[in-house]
Amino acid sequence: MFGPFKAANTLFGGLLWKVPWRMSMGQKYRQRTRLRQVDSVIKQLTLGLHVARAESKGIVYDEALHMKKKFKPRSKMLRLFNKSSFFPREEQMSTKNKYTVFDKKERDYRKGVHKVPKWTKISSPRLTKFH
Amino acid sequence: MVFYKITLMRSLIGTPKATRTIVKTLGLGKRGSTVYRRATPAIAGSILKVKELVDVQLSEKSLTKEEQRVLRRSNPGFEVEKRAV
Repeated sequence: MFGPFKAANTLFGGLLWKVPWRMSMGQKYRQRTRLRQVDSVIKQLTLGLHVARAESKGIVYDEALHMKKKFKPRSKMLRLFNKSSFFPREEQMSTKNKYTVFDKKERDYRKGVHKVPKWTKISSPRLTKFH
Repeated sequence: MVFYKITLMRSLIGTPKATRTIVKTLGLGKRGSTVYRRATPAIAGSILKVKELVDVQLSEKSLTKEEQRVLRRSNPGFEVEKRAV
């Protein structure tokens, strides 16, 4: 059967919405850029708090930006997010963690991150607790 | 003084209510809107909650909406020397 009347799942029954089991190259590329964008946000936040503390000690803005030794952020969350053991950067992450997430119902307990609803707008874990 | 220049990069469609509240509290409106906030641990904490949706840059000065608009204006290629009455 060829042409417009060929047997295809979409033609046999109404709506068919399939999410392929693996991500495309483009999806993976965009996922990496999104991860890097989050990394840059964390970097800027940390740098901002460093400059703020430096300025309170009388160091001017430009000088504070280029200081070799940076003040640690006085925010517990931000300190955690700067730790690679808690929140690794994109280049520190394993391929497995970049593109798959844990799912207890899947075989091998992993599924593509693109199967998670709203996966481009939420943060999925960057580390696996159990290997 | 140091400021975070926060820009909302992703739309809030489909995001939970808590996320929307945080973004609103930061003073952001539509996608692409920009606000300047002082770099404090509290502000950093709330940005951290929505880190997937925003872009953050550092700035020495906080710009008002009018100042931001002037920066965005393109070069018209001419200068008005005198205006007719």
